[in-house]
Amino acid sequence: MSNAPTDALRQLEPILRALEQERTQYVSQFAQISLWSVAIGGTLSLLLAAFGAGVWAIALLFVALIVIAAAYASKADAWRRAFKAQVMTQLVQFVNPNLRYYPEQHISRREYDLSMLYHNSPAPDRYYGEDLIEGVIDKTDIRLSELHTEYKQVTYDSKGRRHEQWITIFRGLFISADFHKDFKGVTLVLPDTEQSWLGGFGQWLQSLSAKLGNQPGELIKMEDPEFERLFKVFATDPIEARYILTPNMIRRIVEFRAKTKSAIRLSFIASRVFVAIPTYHNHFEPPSLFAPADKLLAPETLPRYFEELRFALAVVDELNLNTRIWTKR
Amino acid sequence: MELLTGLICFGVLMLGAAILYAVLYNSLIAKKNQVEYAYSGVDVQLKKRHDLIPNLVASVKQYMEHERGLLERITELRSRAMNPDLPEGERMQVEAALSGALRNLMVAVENYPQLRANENFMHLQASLNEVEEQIAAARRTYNAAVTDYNNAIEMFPTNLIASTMGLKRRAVFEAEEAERATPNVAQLFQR
Repeated sequence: MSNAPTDALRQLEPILRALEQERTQYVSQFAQISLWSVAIGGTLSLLLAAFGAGVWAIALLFVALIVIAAAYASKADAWRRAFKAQVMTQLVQFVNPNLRYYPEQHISRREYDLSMLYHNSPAPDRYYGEDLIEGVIDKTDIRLSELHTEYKQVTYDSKGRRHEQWITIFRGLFISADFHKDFKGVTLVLPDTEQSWLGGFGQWLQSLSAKLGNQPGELIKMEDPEFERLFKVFATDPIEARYILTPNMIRRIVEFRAKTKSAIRLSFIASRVFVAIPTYHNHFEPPSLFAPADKLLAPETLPRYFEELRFALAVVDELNLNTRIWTKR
Repeated sequence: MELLTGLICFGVLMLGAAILYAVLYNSLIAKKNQVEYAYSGVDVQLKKRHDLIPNLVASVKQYMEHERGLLERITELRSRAMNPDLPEGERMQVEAALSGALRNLMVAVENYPQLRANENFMHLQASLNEVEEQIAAARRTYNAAVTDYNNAIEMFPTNLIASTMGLKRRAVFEAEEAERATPNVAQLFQR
């Protein structure tokens, strides 16, 4: 499962070629609009300038620029939609026919709140997402999308002036999947920042934080030193936390973190697992509208998107969620 | 006047010492109770396993003629483990032997394809896996509580108070190598 099935993916190449034609259409439409804007705007503003209305000439040139920018935005958007509707939808089906892809939808705010993954951050004032994939992989139902959540920070300087700033809470892939065991409580696996540079004192701070009610339940120490270095665990029931985080699962989480190369966090609530993978890469996006034709048609294009998809769906295998040997079916 | 100041200082010091003593004393008691609580967590799961065994044995008996010895051993180990007069240390040994015997049974089951088609047995097997997983979790919780407790009674300054309270080190459960791994279906199926 490490390499994308390149030969099979070739079957999808006709879609890419059709899409490439669509792209050249968008580019030529954009070129036409731009040319006309420049021609009409330029001529008129020259005339206006000749009659001494220099201000109007400049304003008109500005309008022409706005028209060009708007044309670009609309064509780039049409291209994005076309790519997602044709290539991504097919690829998702290809990876697993039980999965559905909704380019404009995302993980609901309700689910984001339920996950408690960012319950210590301020509630998001801006909640944006796209590329929802959902369905059932073998026995595990899974839902994931890109998410970007931000909150607004308002500060006043010494002169009483108001400053607004948008601060990102989370940006990346957000996954919600059925867990293979039943449980009732809350278990959070968060990146350990304090202990990594404050050592034992950091751990004491963490357990204090749980006692003060900033975290659900109590701080749970696991036996695996590598896991302990990377993560801190809070849980409402220590036995349940270890029922979920078996030594095997702990190793899998450590390895999954290494593969994603990012400070992942997980929560286990209501028999589901929620995973947040912060990434700054915008997933499932087409190459730029103006990228040369061979970029889209290159042999590595489809495998690359395929890999991106599989990376997003890897959590099912990585956490072994399809193993159903316990009482949950 | 000086006497009064001296007395107040002494009083404050004594009060401070008393508060410190109380805090440390209480933290030790809390840790001791944590260990007992965690132990009862293991106990609950072990009892669940005892409850499961008669059904399990009954459902496989008619199929597994050749494993009669193993089944008898499981039944016997179960009744020994359930004996309330058994000392704690010995009981844990019996439970460990029971774990081993049950594992052998689950391996042996793979030679009986009829059993795999039996809905009732499959359900019992899942329940057994479940309870084994819970036992492992409860044991690890117990071990974490014991480690915390042992650290407290050996580290300064709590060790001073612990010795006056007569608190002794407790032993952790040693997991067998085979128990550490989660049950792996693929491995079982290969047999």
